[in-house]
Amino acid sequence: MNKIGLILSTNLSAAIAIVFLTVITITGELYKVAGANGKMVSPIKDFLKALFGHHWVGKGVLAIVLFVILSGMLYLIFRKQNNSQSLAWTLSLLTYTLILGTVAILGLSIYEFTNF
Amino acid sequence: MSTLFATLLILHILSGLTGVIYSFRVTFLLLKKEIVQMTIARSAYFAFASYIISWVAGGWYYWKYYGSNVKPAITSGDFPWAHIVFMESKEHIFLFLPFATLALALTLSFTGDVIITNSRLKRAVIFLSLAITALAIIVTLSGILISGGAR
Repeated sequence: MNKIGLILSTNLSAAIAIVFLTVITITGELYKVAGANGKMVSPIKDFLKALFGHHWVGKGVLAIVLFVILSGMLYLIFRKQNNSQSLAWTLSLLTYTLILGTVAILGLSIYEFTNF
Repeated sequence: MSTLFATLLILHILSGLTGVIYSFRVTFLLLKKEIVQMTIARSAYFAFASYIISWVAGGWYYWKYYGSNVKPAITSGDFPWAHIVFMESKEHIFLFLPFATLALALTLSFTGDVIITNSRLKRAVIFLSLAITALAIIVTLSGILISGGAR
């Protein structure tokens, strides 16, 4: 197994999984339509709930599936990579994604509270 | 609260705290002059395993108990922000931690001596480890605020 390729694919997949979680959370909260009884409902959260029992469970399961599939696919691309210099930028990308995802989720929660 | 949910909540808290301690240990050991790589990597794997246990236990509790029993009490009480701001943020930010921690653990296990000789890589590893530890502490503090809001 190519270790550099494995780390590169894992770092990038983790960053993409975090972006996915952030986007699906924000979209799920902000995209709402009028339901049958006139109340506003979230189609994304309702879809996840119907499929997994709870939207939070759905987000977690889908993120894991995405992470595993992407790690495998990206490993095929990076399996001949032997240059460890490229590791630093994927780690930095993951760190910035982690911080920006957190700020975005926190911002969304504060926005939701101001409209509560 | 039934014994099952009380156990899940305790398991969620204890394994989450264990994860925070191991994440802190990884950051602390990385900042030392002499790096014992496999020890640090082992701590990162322990942090990852702790977050997964906390994730499953907390998720089950949240899904089957918190939403129908605790959440309505908080949102209709004096401190609705405890749920709307802190729980809503915590539950999603917590989903990020296992992915980032696994990536960090694999990097620490497989980079060999490169991490010691390559200062750019070492800086990137420390930065990621610091971010994970900071987020884990924020999530823990949010949990304390939510408990306060529920009381």
